[in-house]
Amino acid sequence: MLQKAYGLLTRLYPRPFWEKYEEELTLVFAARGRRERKRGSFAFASFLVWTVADVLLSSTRMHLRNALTALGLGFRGVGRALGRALNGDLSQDIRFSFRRLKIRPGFSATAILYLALGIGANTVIFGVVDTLVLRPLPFEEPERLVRLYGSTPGNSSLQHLSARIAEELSEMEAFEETAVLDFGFMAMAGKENAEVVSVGSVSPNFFGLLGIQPVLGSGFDSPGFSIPDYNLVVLSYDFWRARFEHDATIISSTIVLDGSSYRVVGVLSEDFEDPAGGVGGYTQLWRPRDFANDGIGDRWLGVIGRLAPEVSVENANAAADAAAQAMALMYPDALMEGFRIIAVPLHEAIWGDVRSSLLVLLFAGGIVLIVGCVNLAGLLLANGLERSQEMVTRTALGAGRWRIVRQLMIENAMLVVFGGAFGVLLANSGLGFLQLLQNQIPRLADAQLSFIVVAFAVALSAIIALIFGLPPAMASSSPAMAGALRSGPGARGKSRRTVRLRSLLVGSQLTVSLTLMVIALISMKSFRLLSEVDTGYEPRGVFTFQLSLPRSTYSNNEAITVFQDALLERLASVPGVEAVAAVDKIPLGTRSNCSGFRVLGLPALELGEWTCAERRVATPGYFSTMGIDLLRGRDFTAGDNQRAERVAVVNRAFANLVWPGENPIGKQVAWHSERVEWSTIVGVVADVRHFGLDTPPQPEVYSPHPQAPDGRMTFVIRAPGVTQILRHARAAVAELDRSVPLRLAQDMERFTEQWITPYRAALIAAAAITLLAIALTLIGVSGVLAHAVSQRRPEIGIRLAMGAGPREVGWMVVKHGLKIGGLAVAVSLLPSLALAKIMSAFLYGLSGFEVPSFLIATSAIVSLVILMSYLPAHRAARINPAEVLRDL
Amino acid sequence: MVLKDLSDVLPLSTKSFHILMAVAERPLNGYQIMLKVEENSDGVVRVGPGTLYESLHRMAERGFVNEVESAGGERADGRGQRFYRISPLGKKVLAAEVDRLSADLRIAGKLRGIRV
Repeated sequence: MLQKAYGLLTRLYPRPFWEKYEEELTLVFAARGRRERKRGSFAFASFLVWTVADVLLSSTRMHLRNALTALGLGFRGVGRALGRALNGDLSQDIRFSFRRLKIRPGFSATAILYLALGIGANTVIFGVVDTLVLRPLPFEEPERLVRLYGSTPGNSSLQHLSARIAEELSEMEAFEETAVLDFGFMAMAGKENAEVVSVGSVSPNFFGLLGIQPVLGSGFDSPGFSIPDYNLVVLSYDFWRARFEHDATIISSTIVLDGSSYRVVGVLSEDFEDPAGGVGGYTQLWRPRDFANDGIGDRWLGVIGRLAPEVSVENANAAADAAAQAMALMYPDALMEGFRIIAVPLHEAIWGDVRSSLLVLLFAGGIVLIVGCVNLAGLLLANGLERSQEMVTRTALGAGRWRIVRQLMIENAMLVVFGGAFGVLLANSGLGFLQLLQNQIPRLADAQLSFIVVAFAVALSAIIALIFGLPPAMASSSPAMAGALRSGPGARGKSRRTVRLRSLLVGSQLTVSLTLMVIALISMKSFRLLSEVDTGYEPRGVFTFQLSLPRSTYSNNEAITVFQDALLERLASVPGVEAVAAVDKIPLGTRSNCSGFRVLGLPALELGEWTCAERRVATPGYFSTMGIDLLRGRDFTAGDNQRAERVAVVNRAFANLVWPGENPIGKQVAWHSERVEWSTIVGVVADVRHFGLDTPPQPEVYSPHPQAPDGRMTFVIRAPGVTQILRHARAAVAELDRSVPLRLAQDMERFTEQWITPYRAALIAAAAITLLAIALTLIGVSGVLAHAVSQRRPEIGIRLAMGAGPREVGWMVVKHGLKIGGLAVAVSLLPSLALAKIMSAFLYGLSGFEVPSFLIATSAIVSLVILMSYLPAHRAARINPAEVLRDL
Repeated sequence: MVLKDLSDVLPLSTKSFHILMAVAERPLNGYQIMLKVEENSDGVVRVGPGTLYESLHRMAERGFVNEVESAGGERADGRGQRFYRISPLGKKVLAAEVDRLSADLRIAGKLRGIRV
């Protein structure tokens, strides 16, 4: 089927050419396509784009060549002519064209603006899409890689799995191999203080599964070692460049992480991408880890897998599902009933969230291009026809016909060149603007202007310039037009047709603008809702930092608790600090840590299926420090320590899930594990959005810190107005233990803002694009109406002479505008509503057809059309009938 | 088509040059030319089908290559496919272009610090 499409595409070539070569072209395309498809779906997609661009470019070239040959020039001739600086017809024409464009700055500027916007917008968008989506992952046969997640009933997030589960999966036929990964931080000993580095802990076959070879060193599979060595580390390229300055002797040297020595055995290549990545920075070091001691229920790892040959993702999912069910039966305490495993293609796992936004972006870009081109077409058409008088005069005075046409085409060409150049400039800044989203999408930093897209957009505009510029140029320079020197009925007939044509063009622009406005309004609504989402906490005046206590020095719970309590005390004593506490994970940006739980007193059947909740650990005072409302009961106190009764605080989502309508205080919960420890619920807090603004809050259970110590905690300080609070914090930590580094020190308010910024940026972009498109369209509307008025001068004059009032005449003009507008509204009704329905499927907070947005857009457009028709109407009313009658 | 002298057509574009080289030894069909060009240049020079046939068409018009129906008994897909063979004129043009390039290289070789 693609072959047929390509065959049709070849019709773009001049007829004699495609008649001769269409078959061969299609065969070659098919053969090459088969070859590219074997290299992967992304290679295939790039091939398709390349081939289409190839056709467009070479066909344009061919047409241009033919046209120029007909005009007595060749490509080479043009080149030589341009090289001649002095006289010569061509350079004169160029200078003349340039002057003509300068004389009419309104026309030129508008045309260039249309071109620039269309070209610019599409260049940016395609550049982004190309960088993010079309580029295949830098692994071997990336289409056979999947990311595996766990899921449990009642919880909508994709969850981690365990190393044991990964092992079981790799034994299955559907999977060739699996590997696990975990992301964390360690302290790397440096010259003065410890430095915090991000470390990926993986199973030893991780890089082998991905098919990655380090550019330096041999990686984890060091030859000659039969006993697996886990004190190895591989550096990322950027880390090696920044910290070790490309020093190749780093291989086989040692670095110290968290107090233990690790031998450097490799450096990854520059284009390596973290398969768990896509969000949140990059991993600086990788080390192998032995996960043998993990139980099957210790689900805290990411799992990637390589599908066996000829196995599809659907097959893999079915197999994984069966395995999950079997495992749940075999280990009912660790995995609950309803436990499932899901396989997602790796590319989608990384970029899936972004894809829907990209689609919208692509669509918007297409619309802007269409609006721009249609505007341009109308403009060129009108321009060509208006100048027919001038052209005919020149012909009568002896100018060669081709000379005139050539000069007009040069004018159009200049517009295209300037428009394209300006568009590329806009695209450049557009890309810069998009990089605001960088903290969410790191790959965006590599986004570059794609040459193919620029070429495509320019080619498109050139084609339009040819299509809409050439015929009027040809027509107006025809000797047969000599009759048009007189404004006879023939001329008026032609003008009427022009007006109708232009009205049609503008009408279609209005339709597009209206649709675009509806889309923008909907997007704005969604974005606005998203940015106003109640996060559940109060970030103003709150600062946080993370501490990771090295396991070698703090190997037991006692040591951890002692250190953290001491630190909390010190921090609380800093002047200006209102409250201090610690929690294991702060809101926003956390990945799921969902664990199964049990509820005392509720038989399994009544609860339905087992569900899981997020585990959290917090010190007393955390909720008030973070500004999370306590809805019922009490917070943790110092009395909730290891020796006391086990307690817990749950969030509202949890309470509503398990005991809807009841008071959960006093009830008991326990985590699903071999040794069941019941905790009594003592309080209920408000829901916090831990996973992102558009993810609904999940049920959570907090345990007090002494009862579930964690060496990695984030400390939260409420100290509004205290500058340098983090410096105090660093000092306090250093006082206790110099080797423990502070990391992720941040201002909670700014951090929260960062999450909203991309949405806000997108909102601004949507608004900007819409406003521009509408502005351009409305200029077009007033242009058409003004043109109509000037063409209908005789008719209007007669009407006025016959006693019609000026108001009547003005109303005629307005009616014309409204007719166009009304038609546009009618035509855009269906597409707008359909689009709204489609978009509401994947934008936050929308539902159904969003009729109010459509109505708003419609009334806006209609009122603007009326506004635009004011001036032409006014001018029509002021026509002096006597003058007009005289001219007839 | 009669050329006044070869300076009218030189320098050849990279694509034309590579395509001519591809068919210099034996006749090839379009797909084969495409692959040969990429192979010869280690993937540096890529021609799409459209550009390829555009060039072939032009070169055929100017007499650098001849179109041959299924040369040497090779039939791809069982259908008569067009094969392209370099013509004597094409050989002259190719030789002239190689001379030109070599001359440039010789000059570059004389520069200190540049290895040719």
